[in-house]
Amino acid sequence: MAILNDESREITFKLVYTGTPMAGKTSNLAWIHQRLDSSARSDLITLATMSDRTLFFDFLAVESVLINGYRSRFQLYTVPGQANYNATRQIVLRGADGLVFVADSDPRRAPDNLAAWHALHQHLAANRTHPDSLPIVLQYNKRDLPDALPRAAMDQSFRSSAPPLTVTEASATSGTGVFNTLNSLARLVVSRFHSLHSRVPAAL
Amino acid sequence: MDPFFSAPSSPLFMDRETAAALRQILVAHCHDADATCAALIEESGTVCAQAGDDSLNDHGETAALAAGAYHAVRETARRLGESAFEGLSHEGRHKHFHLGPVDSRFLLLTVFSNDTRLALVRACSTRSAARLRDCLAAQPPPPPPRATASPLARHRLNAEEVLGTTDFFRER
Ligand SMILES: Nc1nc2c(ncn2[C@@H]2O[C@H](COP(=O)(O)OP(=O)(O)OP(=O)(O)O)[C@@H](O)[C@H]2O)c(=O)[nH]1
Ligand SMILES: [Mg+2]
Repeated sequence: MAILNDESREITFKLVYTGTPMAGKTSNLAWIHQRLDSSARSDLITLATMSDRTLFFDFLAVESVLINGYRSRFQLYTVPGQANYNATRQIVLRGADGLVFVADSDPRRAPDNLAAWHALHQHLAANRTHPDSLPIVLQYNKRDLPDALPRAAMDQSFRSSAPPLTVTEASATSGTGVFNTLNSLARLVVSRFHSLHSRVPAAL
Repeated sequence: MDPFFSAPSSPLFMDRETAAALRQILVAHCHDADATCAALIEESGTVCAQAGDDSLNDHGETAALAAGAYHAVRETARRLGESAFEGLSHEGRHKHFHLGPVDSRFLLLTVFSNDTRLALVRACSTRSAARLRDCLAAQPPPPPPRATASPLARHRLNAEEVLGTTDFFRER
C-alpha cells in the first residue's frame, strides 16, 4: 500500500503484474527496464527457474514525476504464473495498490486466461481485498501472433466476469503497448489515491 | 487465521517527526547490536527508515528481496504447522543479517559482521522492534478519507479528470 514519507518527500506505490502463465509478465518488466534511463530505475531482479519461469517474483523500482513536491516511486513486481506457485503469488499480491492482468492473445490459451482470472479473485478474497477497490488494467498481450484472438473475442471472454476495466493491447517482446499499460495503471492508482486522501494534490 | 494475515493494509503517512524518531531508534539499535546497518522495511519492500552504512542505498532491490525472503520463510513455517515466527538469519563468511518481525506490516533488517554475535543481534532486535512499534503507533492518525469518494467503483473516477493524460513514464 502507498507510503507517503514527509521527510524524504517520496510517495511509493506497489504495482503487481499478474495474469496467465507465460503470458508475458516478465517480458513487460524487461522492456521497461531496458527503456528507462538507469538513473530512474533499479536493477531488474528476477527470481526464476533455469528455464526462465518466474519462481517467486521479478522486481523493478521506477521513479517518476514530482507530485506536488513528492517524488513518485513505483515498485513493480511480477508474480509466477504457474498454478503450483499459488502460495508465493499470494504473498507478492499482498498490499498491491494496483494490478496489471496480462492475458495471452493466443487462442489456445483462452481457457488459461479465464482460469488465471478466477484464481486472481480467489487470491484477492484470501487477502481480503475487494476487486472493485483495486485499480486493474487488463492487458491483452502477444497481439503480434498471426492467429491472435480478435479484440472483440478477448473482450467477450472477460466480459461475463470482469467489471468494465481499462484494457490495453501489447506485444511485450517488441515493446508495443508496454508503457501505455504502465502509464494507464499509474494514472488510475494515483488518481484513486487522490480521490481517497485529501493530502495528495489535485494537479501534477 | 494467522493474525499476521488478517488485515489488509492501508496507506501509510509518515510525518517528519516519526521518520526522525524511527531513525533514532535504528541508530541506537546499530549501536547496541554492534551492527553495520539496520532498516525498517514495509511488507512491499519499501525502506521506511534506516541507519548505519550505505549497504541499502540502492534503488530498493535489496529491501524487496529481504521482504520477499522473510514472507516466504514465514509462510513456509505456517504451512508446516508452526505459527510462531521469530524471524530468520543468514550467516555468511564476513557479512551476516537478521530479519525479525516488528508487527504484521513491518520487519527489521540488521546487517552485522564477524565481530558481533547473532544472539546479541536477536535480543536487540526484539527490544528495538518494540520501540519501533510504539513509535509507529504514536503517529498522529492519517488524514480521513474524503467524504465524497463512493465506497465502490471509486477508482473508476475518471483518471483524466485529475491527471490529464500525464505520462508517468516515457520510453527513451
Ligand atoms: N509472440 C510473443 N511472444 C511473447 C510476447 N510476450 C512474451 N512472449 C513470450 O512468451 C514467453 C513467456 O514470457 P514471460 O515474459 O516469461 O512470461 P511470464 O508471464 O512472465 O511467465 P511465467 O512467469 O512463467 O508465468 C517467452 O517465450 C516470451 O518470449 C509477445 O508479446 N509476443
Ligand atoms: Mg515471469
